[in-house]
Amino acid sequence: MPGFTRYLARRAVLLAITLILVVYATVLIANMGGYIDKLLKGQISFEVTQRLNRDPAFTRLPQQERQRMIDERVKAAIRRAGLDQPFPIRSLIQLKQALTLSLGRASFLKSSTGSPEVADIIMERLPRTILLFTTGTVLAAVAGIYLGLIQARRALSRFDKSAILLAIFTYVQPPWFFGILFILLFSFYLRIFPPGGMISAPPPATPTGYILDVLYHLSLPLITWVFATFGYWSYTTRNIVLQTMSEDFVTAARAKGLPENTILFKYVLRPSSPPIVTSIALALVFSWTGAIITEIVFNWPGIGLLFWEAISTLDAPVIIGLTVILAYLLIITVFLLDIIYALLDPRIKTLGGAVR
Amino acid sequence: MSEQPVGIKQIFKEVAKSKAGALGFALLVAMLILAMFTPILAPYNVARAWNDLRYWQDNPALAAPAWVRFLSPNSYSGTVTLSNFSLERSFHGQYTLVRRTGSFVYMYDVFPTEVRLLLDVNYTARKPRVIATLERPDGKGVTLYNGMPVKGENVVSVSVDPKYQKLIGYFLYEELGYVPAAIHPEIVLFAKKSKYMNDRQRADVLKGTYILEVDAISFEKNLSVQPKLIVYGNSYGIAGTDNYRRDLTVGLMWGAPVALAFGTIAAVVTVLLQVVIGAAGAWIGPRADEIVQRAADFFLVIPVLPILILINVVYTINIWLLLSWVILFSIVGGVTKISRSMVLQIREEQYVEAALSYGASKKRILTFHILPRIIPYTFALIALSAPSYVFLEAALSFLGLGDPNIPSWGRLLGQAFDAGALYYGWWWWVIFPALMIMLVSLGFTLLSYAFDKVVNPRLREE
Amino acid sequence: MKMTALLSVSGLHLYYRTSRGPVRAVDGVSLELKEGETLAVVGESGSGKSSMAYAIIRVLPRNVQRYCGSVVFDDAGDIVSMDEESVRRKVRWKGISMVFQGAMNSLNPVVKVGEQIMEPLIIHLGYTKEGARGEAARAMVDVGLPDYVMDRYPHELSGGMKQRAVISMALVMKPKLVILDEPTSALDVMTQANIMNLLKRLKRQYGLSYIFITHDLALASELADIVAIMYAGKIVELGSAEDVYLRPAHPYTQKLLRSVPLLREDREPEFIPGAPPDLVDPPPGCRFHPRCPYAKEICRREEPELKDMGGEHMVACHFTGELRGGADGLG
Ligand SMILES: Nc1ncnc2c1ncn2[C@@H]1O[C@H](COP(=O)(O)OP(=O)(O)OP(=O)(O)O)[C@@H](O)[C@H]1O
Ligand SMILES: [Mg+2]
Repeated sequence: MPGFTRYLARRAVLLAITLILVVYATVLIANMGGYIDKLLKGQISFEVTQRLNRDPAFTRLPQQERQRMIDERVKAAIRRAGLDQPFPIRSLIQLKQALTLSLGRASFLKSSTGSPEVADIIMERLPRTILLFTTGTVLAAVAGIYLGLIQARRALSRFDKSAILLAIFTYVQPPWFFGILFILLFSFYLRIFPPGGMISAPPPATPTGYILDVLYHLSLPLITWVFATFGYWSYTTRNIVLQTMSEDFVTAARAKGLPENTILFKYVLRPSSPPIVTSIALALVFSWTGAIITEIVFNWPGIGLLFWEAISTLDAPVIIGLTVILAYLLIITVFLLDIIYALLDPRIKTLGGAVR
Repeated sequence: MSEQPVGIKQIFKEVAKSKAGALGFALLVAMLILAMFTPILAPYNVARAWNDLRYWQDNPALAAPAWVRFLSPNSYSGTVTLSNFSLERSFHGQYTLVRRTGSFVYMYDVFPTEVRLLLDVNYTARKPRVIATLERPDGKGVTLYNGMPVKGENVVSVSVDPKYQKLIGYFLYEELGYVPAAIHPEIVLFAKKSKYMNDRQRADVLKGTYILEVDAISFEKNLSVQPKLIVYGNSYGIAGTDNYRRDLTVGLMWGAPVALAFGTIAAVVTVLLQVVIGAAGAWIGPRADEIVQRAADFFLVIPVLPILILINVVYTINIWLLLSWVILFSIVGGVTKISRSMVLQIREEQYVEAALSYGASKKRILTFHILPRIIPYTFALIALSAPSYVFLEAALSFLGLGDPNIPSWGRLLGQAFDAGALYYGWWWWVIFPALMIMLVSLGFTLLSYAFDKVVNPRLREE
Repeated sequence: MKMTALLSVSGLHLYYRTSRGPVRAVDGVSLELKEGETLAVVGESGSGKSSMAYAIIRVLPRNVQRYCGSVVFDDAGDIVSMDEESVRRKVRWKGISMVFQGAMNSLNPVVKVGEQIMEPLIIHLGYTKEGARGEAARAMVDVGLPDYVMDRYPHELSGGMKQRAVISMALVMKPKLVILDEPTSALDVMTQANIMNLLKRLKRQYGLSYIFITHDLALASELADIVAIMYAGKIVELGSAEDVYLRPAHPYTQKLLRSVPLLREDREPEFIPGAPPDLVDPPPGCRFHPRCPYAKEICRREEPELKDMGGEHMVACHFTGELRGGADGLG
């Protein structure tokens, strides 16, 4: 066990370094390597000058006096905005703030209640993304894994082969791509579902009506997501299970005269479960990050669309805030997975991950 | 092991023999041929002209593909362009009169979508007066234009410019005794006389020969006028047009080299890099292996798409630069882990241990035992990852972020989406680019499936 | 030794379906084994030894194309024609157990070793967990495993320990017949010798019958009462160890004996030229003829029957009488 603890400790350190690097890279890119700072400074000095010029007392001052005053005020305003430090130092400050999750205020974006706090903006969007993508991921995983198990039992049958091709084909095309085609088909031609959005305008007045309306808008993106991702689950499940089924210990279990059910659960599914469980956990976390283009296509106001809005307006605090939250989520999950994996697969504990 | 085909040639042979492999090859070869013919059929300057909207003005906007006319002849029409005119020049004292006459036959069952008259006028100093009159098969004449055009090309938007709609209004007043609030010249001009002749649904098309007469009068002897009448239909070309009248066939053709080049190069380079780095790490020793694996963990955790989008928004980049960024973000990754575990596994195998024990050099073992086992997988992995790069390019172009200079399938899709093609049902603008992307990714996918079947005995039993 | 047959196999076939056509891994095998006897099955790699074992205990891969013949075991009846559930209940592990080739992989990596040994007792004999644990502990002592192994996972054991664990798993129900498929091939010489001694002792102790599968004639000689030589899915020679080793009658057996390096004799081991045939498309007539120095026209045309040369020494060769080799085998 100490080997495993040491292994976990090392993983934790490495993941922490990864987290810092990812967040810092985002800070650099989102600020365009300091260019945004220059823009902001220019904007501040313009605003300050304008304000002073509107003051009649100011315009009566001599030229030199005016210039000195402008410089002074601009400097003060820049200091107030925290822009007086050179960018490398500011980037480190931003890094620290991001890592401590003080996400600050957005430059342009606001939540629907009008709050400019990055945390508020993100928290408003997160439930919507979870509603669509986490639900979709769970449905796709359940359906896909079930299909994969059936395929593994009937391996190389015609059913299995068609299911493989369908799975690969649907999985290769990204969800947004199916989204476009599905909107054309189900929304324009068949008129079954709305083409996008999360709620009708104006929203229904009754709570039941509201829920039904959201569900109605949810259907098409949900169907799309499940359709585009179940193939991953069925294909990997099938292959992992089939791989396990061909192991000698399964043959041995059969020779031992164990009943089929025992063989299936104890000798096939249990050894197959660590990679599948890992995938599910990762996919669930990833589902929180939404999907930028899918959300654009369906005009679904979640995290992905927020990301796109933030990037389009170069709203650095929001970009950084989103990245840091997602990076945290991901890294904590990866770490938890190490532990889960070890619980499921006794080989990990002693060999410290060498098996994977 | 003994069943695994050795040698690249044999692998390719087996892949081509399987149904999936043959179909995948065929699809990709077809695309490759299309990509190679693109510069001939639609030269690069045509692609460059993609963003030059004047270049496309002879095409109808938002036209469905021309072949739908065969499927439903009574709801689609083609574009009629009249550019052959007879020339008659006469002198009346100080005046010079240039008369140009041309005719065309209109036989479609539906009304045109738009009518446009182009006047290319040339003179020395004084503007001529130009009058254009369309004589209909029923003998009625309608004035389309009456004015003093400037030197060079003049666009007379008969159907959309209120100035010219008014002229049609006069005609309607004569025929119906009143002027409706909204005038649709492209219908009125081609409708049988009735009280519905301004109503697309209820009017009847007046089929027959139409004559356009353009008179130019000037005080100058030196006067020329070259008219061109375009009666736009609602179908055009192999794949239709977009809202800027661009021929989607050109866009679709140029998408092929873009997608193939991007997908293939990105897949080959990233997979090879990842395979080599992963294998090298495992081969060199635990230290190198550890470094490579941690780097791979790092690259697996970074959100590549958002960062790429960010980079694209911040810096407008061309396709090669984009490719470089993509490769940079995929130096190590999932494939590194696969190749690494393969090397570790192969190294444990008895024949390698045996080779080591009888003193074969590491290099020899690498080239004779390890690489031959990994290379077949590399092919499968390349074919497997190519579609994801095709779609990555499509995704960025969809957002309007890719290389702005050349059209790509993703770009067409994005423009269709932005223009509301999904809500207005301009299906050709969506279906064709999507179909092209799908065919390429299907080609690669089938190929990777076939490769997987050959190199992975698990699928091969039968 | 009782004289009734414990196992009698006749006309056993097992073909696998592959993309290239059927693989005739077991192609008409007949043999008999009396209680307490050990049968060694010897042959080159790919000759169908493991397949024969699978066919006897009836654990078949998915891609079986043909499985027929008869395998009558003790008083259970014919395994080939029995329904799956009866095989499972009456034969497997109770009557016949097996140590698979590559014992390293025949243990479930996520289940503790002890539990895997106990499992058949609980399922077949309705033992309680404690009872089964006691029985399993005894079986482990029998094979010389320390008791802490009980609560270990397979990957925590050494190769030799795993091999012992697998053997104790095969013995825990005290079956009449144990099939051992190359139980020592992945082990070093010392461990190999240990395991062989262990097998001998267990045989004496419990009066077990073994089918001992190996490609190593020398190893087979340590344990075998009767020896079956397999070539390309068929038995080419079958007889008492004495007959086969001292009076090998089939050219293949003779070659095989001469390819064994001997410490005592100053003779270079011979190689058998050529490679074993492809079982999808075996040569016509005698399957060994392309590699046989004595091959005549008839060998190419006609398949030799397995004929009794007297004393239950069976040989499948057209020229049996003439080619009987001298005593150049192992002593
Ligand atoms: N599931 C299967 N599907 C197709 N062919 C198979 C299968 N299992 C075995 N074979 C083939 O059947 C033949 C006999 O295999 P088998 O494992 O019985 O040989 P063996 O004598 O045990 O060899 P070894 O000494 O290497 O274990 C070989 O040619 C092998 O390739
Ligand atoms: Mg075998």
